[in-house]
Amino acid sequence: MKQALKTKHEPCLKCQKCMHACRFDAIHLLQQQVQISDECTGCGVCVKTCDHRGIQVLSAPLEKNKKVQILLLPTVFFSQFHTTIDQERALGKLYALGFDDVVFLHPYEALYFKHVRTILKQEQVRPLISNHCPVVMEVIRQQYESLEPQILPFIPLSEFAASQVIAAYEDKGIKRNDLELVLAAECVAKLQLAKLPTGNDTYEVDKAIALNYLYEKMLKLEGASTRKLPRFTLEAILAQLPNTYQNYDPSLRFVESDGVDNIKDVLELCEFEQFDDVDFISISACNNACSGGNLLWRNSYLSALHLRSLEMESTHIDRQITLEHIRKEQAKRKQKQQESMKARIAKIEAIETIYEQLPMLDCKACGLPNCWKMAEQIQQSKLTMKDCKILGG
Amino acid sequence: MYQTTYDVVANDFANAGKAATKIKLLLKQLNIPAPLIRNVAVASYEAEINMVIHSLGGEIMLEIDQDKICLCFRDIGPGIDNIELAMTPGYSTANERAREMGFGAGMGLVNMKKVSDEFTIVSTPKGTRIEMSFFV
Repeated sequence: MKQALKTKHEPCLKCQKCMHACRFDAIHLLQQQVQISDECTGCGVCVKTCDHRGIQVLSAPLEKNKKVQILLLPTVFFSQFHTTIDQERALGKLYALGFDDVVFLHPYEALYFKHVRTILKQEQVRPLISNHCPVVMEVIRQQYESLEPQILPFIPLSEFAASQVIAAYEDKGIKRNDLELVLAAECVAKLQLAKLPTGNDTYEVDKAIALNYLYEKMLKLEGASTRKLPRFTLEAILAQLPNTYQNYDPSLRFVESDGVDNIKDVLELCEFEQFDDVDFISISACNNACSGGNLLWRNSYLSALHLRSLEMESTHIDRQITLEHIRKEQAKRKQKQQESMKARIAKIEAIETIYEQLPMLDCKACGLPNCWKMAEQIQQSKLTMKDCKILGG
Repeated sequence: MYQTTYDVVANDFANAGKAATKIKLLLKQLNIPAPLIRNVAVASYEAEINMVIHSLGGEIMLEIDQDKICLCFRDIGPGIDNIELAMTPGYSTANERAREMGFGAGMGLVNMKKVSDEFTIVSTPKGTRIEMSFFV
């Protein structure tokens, strides 16, 4: 999957900090250029690691291209402001930026949180795995393919919200062609849930804007009026926080994890079928789940704290939307191009032979994250043994 | 044919499951279909944990052929007294330490037999040998 990240040649010092930080071995320094490979999951760790803005987040621009521009706003936006008056002012500024309508995602977030229970009653598969985090979806797609049938069969909630918004506007006589749906993304990975900036045409949402980019624009505005906040639902707030499923419903068994380092721990055990007595696994790549989204500017613990104070005023959701609205067709995986087993074994053996001649220190000096990757490159004749800084001198 | 061997150390709970993880990674690199990898992974994890809990150490031999993946788990140790009983779901002789660490639910052998295409077990008071094969 194409991620909303780009490397900048100019400020980059080739210090390799990003390569050391990447949990997915997706950053390579080849031909004196930092490159992000297909293994990137969009977790965004490299962006924060770089001291020189060498890896930048791609955000769609703010410019309005259609008659009506609608912002889809996640609840975590409000976690970035300390008091209710700050939150109301921030909302006012969003309108002042030129959006014709701001659609709050909280009813949809709440639906997701609630409907997990409904679907657990319908599905036999255990444990089911949450699909709210695109980073986790990408890790599963790349490394834990056998877990795919266990993923919660929901469409992304921004897509669900988009379909509802489009229907509501069409009722008012405004055509889809006159609407521009903009998703405010709290993390790098959610920037790919729209046509722009990554060019992902399968999504209904027209473009995704980084929340910190929106915030920069908001700071430049002066004297915008305040807007009244919506009544947040408890479930929408719980859905943004870590470790909330179990407290909400003690009758089921949950495993909940947050933080990019814990993703593989959980998925690994899940693939060994050690979680068979667990009903639902909720995994988020960011610390403190979505309240710690990497495009938010507040510390994730403060965000979580502020979200919890919103919770005080919350009401329960009463809207009736059936599961069929959010159920996703299970995508069929394309059959992999298969060489014969004999050829595949020969290839692995060739790589292993090269690997055993390398120092196996994973020093990264060559510009690749480990010696195995180096061995693969040598096997494909893209590099030679001399490119190893230890052996080649 | 591809062959490799992994060592398993008795009572080394901190590293229990690492050989199974390596096997899984290798099969993924070989582009083996996901459901098959899952079966091999589950079986090797259970067998490896069994070795860590019950044996005095042993080794795992992996052979990958064009149409078949074979796993052989060979350990030195007390062996299994009554294999028929050990194949009963829920039956476990795991000691308290193993159970405290969450292992020893008594499903190991049952699961291994369930997910593999061929399953043989030979056990003497000197050790146990489990052979499993999976058709590609």
